[in-house]
Amino acid sequence: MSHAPRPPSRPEGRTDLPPQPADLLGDGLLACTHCGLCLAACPTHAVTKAEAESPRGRLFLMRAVAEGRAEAEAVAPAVESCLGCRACEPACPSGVPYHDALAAFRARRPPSPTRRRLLAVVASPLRLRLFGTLLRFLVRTRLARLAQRLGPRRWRRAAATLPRHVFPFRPRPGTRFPAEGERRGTVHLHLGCIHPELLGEDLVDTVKVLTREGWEVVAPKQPSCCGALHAHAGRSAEGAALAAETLDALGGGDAVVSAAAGCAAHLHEHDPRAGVEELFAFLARRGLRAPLGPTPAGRVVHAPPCHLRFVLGDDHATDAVLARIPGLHVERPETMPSCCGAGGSAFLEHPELAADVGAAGRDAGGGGAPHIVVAGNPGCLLQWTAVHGADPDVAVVHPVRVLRRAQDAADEAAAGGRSAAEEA
Amino acid sequence: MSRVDARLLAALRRRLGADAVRDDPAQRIACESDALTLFRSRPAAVVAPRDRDGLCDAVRMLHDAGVPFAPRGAGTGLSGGALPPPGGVVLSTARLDRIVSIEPDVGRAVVEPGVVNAELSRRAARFGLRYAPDPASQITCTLGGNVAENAGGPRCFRYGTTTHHVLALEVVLADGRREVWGNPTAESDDLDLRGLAIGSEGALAVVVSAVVRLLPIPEAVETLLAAYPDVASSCHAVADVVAAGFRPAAMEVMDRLAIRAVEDSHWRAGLPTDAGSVLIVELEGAAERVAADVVEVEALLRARGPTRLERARDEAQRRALWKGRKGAGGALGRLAPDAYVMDGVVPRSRLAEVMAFVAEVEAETGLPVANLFHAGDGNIHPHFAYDARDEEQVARVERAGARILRKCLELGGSLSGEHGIGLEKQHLLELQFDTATLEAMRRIGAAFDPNGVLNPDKGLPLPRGCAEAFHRHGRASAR
Repeated sequence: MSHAPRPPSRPEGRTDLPPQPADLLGDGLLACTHCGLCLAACPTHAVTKAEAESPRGRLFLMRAVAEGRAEAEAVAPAVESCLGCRACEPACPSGVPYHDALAAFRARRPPSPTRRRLLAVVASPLRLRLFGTLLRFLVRTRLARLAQRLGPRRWRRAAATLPRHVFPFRPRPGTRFPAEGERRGTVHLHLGCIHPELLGEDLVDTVKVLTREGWEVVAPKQPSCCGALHAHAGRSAEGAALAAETLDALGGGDAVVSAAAGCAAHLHEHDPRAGVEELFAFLARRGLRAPLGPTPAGRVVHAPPCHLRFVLGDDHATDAVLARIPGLHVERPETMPSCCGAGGSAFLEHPELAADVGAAGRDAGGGGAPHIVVAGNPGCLLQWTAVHGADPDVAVVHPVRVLRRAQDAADEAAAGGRSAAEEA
Repeated sequence: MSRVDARLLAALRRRLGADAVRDDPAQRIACESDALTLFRSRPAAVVAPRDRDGLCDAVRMLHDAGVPFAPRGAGTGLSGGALPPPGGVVLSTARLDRIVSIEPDVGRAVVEPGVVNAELSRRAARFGLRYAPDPASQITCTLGGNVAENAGGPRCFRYGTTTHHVLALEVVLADGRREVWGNPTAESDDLDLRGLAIGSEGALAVVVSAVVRLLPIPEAVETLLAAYPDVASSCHAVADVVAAGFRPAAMEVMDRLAIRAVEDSHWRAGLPTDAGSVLIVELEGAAERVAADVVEVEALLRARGPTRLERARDEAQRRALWKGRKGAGGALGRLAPDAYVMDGVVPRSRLAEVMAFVAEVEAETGLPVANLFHAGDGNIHPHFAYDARDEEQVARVERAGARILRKCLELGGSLSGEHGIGLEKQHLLELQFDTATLEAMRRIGAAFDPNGVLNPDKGLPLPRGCAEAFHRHGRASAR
């Protein structure tokens, strides 16, 4: 099966304007004219209203450093408070490649200890496994809850992001999950790093949904991190190497799919020809076959992961698929910030800012009324978990879990119908 | 003039909270410029109160300490109005972003100065209302800043600038006293202090809240797009439409370079990149009236020989056109590292003439100039694309800008349509106003701000040499 060609994610340079001078700030800083139209798109500016914490302000600071008018260390706190959501890029009439500029700035500085440790963990399958085991232990023994209440401030916020229920999903390398019914093709499923360690049920449901849809699902030949966090941290070479390894471990089939939008976005940008697709974009493009029954979910607030929106441009696929579920009401609040506040590892490094951005998202979603928040990315799920805390009225889940329930409901209805027919 | 010292900052922090007073390098450097990057001046601190009482106290405390300050909204101004005075601070009103009330039945709203222009219209839309002035930066710019610069926008051809939409202002004077200028319910008979404050660039008082007019969203809208082989044809077409007695909501012209910059960007609107200019005309009002007018206006536009003439098919295309028009200024960033957006006015009948002069200056200066302008108002905005790292280019741009503004005056126009005087044009004020008028302005300024702390040196003429203190690209930026 061949893929429909995807439109380029950066449709720039269509006319024959002379190119920008490529000297000095090859990172594209010079394209910024300081017009300020990006301010409206920025989730950190929305909560602090500080120029230095806006895309324009950060570009101005980076340019000041590049031109020798400021010290990198002195302006780093403001630049580093960027969540990297990239909402400013489509908002920019001048086409500033903001993420390149940010990555170049970060590449010239040592990463923070938190970030360094995190990168070391996710990049090593063994360390990741140990870390996952530790986190699950902390959650299951309720030590995480204790740390959330009594630990030092830094721990409290980190502990709050841990889900209350953890479940690992680590299929043996190369495992094949057969398609149900008539086989439509083979999907190579990228599992991710922290996703299978903590939120494995998402992946169990992903496999179930895909196989029910008629896809054979193949697990990667070896566990692998996609490198998104590295790229995000300015370590582009490592990010690219990990992406290459990941694509290699996945192998080519009819499709390569990830249930983590952040991974899908990074892998897509690393090599658009590899055809990596985010789960719901894949489902929407190929069409749904399995019947969907009503779920008791009621009101669902979709908080699309930022890279699903601003890098892949595929965020509406999730709404479209969920809208097929009978009785489900999916909302996209107009005032929802462009990022949940997780921002890769930003929620560990700038916990207060992340909490403020998250709170803005919670308010936009109508915190009071009972609802389900869906976000198709593990980082977002952890952040939303922390944001909504112990609110009994709000559940935070991956959208695939809602879809799986709807499939189950249809199956049960069919089974019920059959047994009723048999009895008759 | 006193300096900002640790004691003052500590006192401000005690009153306003630590997060409201920031003097770390990042915050200070980021506020060195507004959207006019030709000038830079580093503030000693950025003070950003959270509420109206805090704002008033901040003004009083800075005044008492003798520290000059520039109020700043979103920093999208194009004349340097939000540039901090040397040794002074930036007083940000951005966090005062509450819409206090919307009264749909009387068509007005009470807003804080940090409310974003487009956000007010978004919130008013559920009552079928909108705030009419629509600067290109409306998704970002604040109403406080709009008041300070008497901001305009495409729609101002029909609806007028900010001053026509502000009923009353609650202001804080230099010494911290609060007053209400204007009358929220009726035209005032007394001295129009409200009118005086609008466009005064924060030199008389700081806006604490404003009562603004909301107008009904018109029943029908038609947007026409005409492409011509040259800029002059667009200018003539505009003159024809007005001469025939039509009052479109907006009439906007973009030249070839501007069109191509937009079409090269995410904000592309489907404009013909081979045209010499495009003219966007928007008609709005009662459905029947608009339906009749649009046919006649089309005929007028056709008479000037367009290479393309069409009506926006639907709301989506209309939005795309306006998004393209409003993003055009920013899109020009792809031409060169820096942009200088000018603002000048000529009588509508002289538009073609002044545009020919701009082309002449462009040829002489040797730097690309893109043009997008509010043709209905005779309000031109040449955009110079240059490289600020080259001092010689900066000097050429400044000279060229001054020449164009002189030409505007010569043709019977004025120095500013909607960007304000700011720091950019004060050295030209004496060309537009006579000595007595300038002296009167100075005396008004001194009456409200005898100690010279309220955004000093903006808008009003400076004694020769003072402007050097700021000068461009931070040669003298305060450390």
